[in-house]
Amino acid sequence: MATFKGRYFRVALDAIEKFDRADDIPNLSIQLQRAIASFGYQFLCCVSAPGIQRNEFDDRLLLKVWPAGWFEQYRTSNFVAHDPVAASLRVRKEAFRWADVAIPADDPLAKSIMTISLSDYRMRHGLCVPIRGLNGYQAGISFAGFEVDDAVEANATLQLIGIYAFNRLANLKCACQGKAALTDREREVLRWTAAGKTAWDTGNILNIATDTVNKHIASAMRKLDVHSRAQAVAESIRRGEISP
Amino acid sequence: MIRVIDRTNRHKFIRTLDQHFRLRHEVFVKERGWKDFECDGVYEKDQYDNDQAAYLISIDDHENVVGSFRLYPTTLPHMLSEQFPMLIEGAVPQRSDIIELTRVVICRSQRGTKTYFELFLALQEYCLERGICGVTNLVRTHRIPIVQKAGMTIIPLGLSKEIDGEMCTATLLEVSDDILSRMRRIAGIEGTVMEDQTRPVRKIA
Repeated sequence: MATFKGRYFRVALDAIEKFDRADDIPNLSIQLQRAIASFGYQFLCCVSAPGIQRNEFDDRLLLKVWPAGWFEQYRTSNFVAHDPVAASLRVRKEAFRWADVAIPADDPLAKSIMTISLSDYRMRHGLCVPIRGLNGYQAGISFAGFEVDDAVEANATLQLIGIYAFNRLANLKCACQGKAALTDREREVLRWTAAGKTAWDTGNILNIATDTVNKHIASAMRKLDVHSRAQAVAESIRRGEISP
Repeated sequence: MIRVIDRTNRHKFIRTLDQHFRLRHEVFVKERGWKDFECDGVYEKDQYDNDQAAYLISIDDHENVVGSFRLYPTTLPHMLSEQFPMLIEGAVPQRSDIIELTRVVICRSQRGTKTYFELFLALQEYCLERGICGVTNLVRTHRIPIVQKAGMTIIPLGLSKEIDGEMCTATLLEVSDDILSRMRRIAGIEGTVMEDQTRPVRKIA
């Protein structure tokens, strides 16, 4: 019976321990880069599923260590809508290699994306780890490199690394959001919203533009991680940011 | 509400236990296609469904079984030690304060609901009460983030391998008061989820 832990598994445990010790997101990102570098991967990105507040690709990027030019091109050319890897992440449960992604024949851009990533940015191999929650697709992580260890054990290790890095990331993000206090103006605007005033009313009361009121409310909603004005009021009362 | 059934009280809950074996058949045989453990075309049972097993069963307001899992001592030959030792790198944990969790099941209509949280809150409560500090479990790898999101601490015991077409990982779930409080906070559930079995049973369930 095996009583010794194999090399790959030790790498996974070591990485998981370091993720747990990372006390902020930049540190976690460094630990994750180190962990995947031992398999030959230099690039990574982690994208959350589209949500009510976060629909733009930029807002959904949770971690990004990408070649700068690639990111610009990807964003400005709206590659996310055509990227066959991104499409696979949304529907698959298990970790998969870019090489195992079917490229749709009817979308020429899909093929170009794969070609450009290889020829211009040296991303020859990729491995993706989908993260699924109780209600389906939650986030996806993609690792990319030129010369990689593609052994079955390496990919199984990278899957664990992806899952545990994401878990730490989610916890760190949660802790950050908990700390993000509202500004005085956001609190003021929410107090008038709680009193039943519209954005137009509030703008008149505070002598600021309706647009500005809406911006403060949107910012408060992001900080409170809620999806409506009513929820923002309820949540800010719960957190003691405004009094009932 | 979670009902604990083991050899000391199974005579009182014959109907609940029967329904639970039927639910397992519904999910593991009909839905997931396991053929080896089919019993009479109605139940799903294996060699670990014996006197040593304990069942934690989620019951709805109408006394229907909506979810369940099975616990088994790791000091005895158990599923991980006998069927899947190759998924563990190192020795299979076999200790009186570690038990094995198997056959986690939730009926289709209750998936993604509080039932999931109640079952796993019950696991923590059950273990804390009995001085159990860890739970070994073979889990489908893609479910690990769900377990984590519910507030549990889950440690891999080896790399994932394919079993019957699905990637699975042997894991250890930690048990502690802190984890129980964290899970309660996430689930928005206060207090115990366990049935009070000291109260007289109204009817044979």
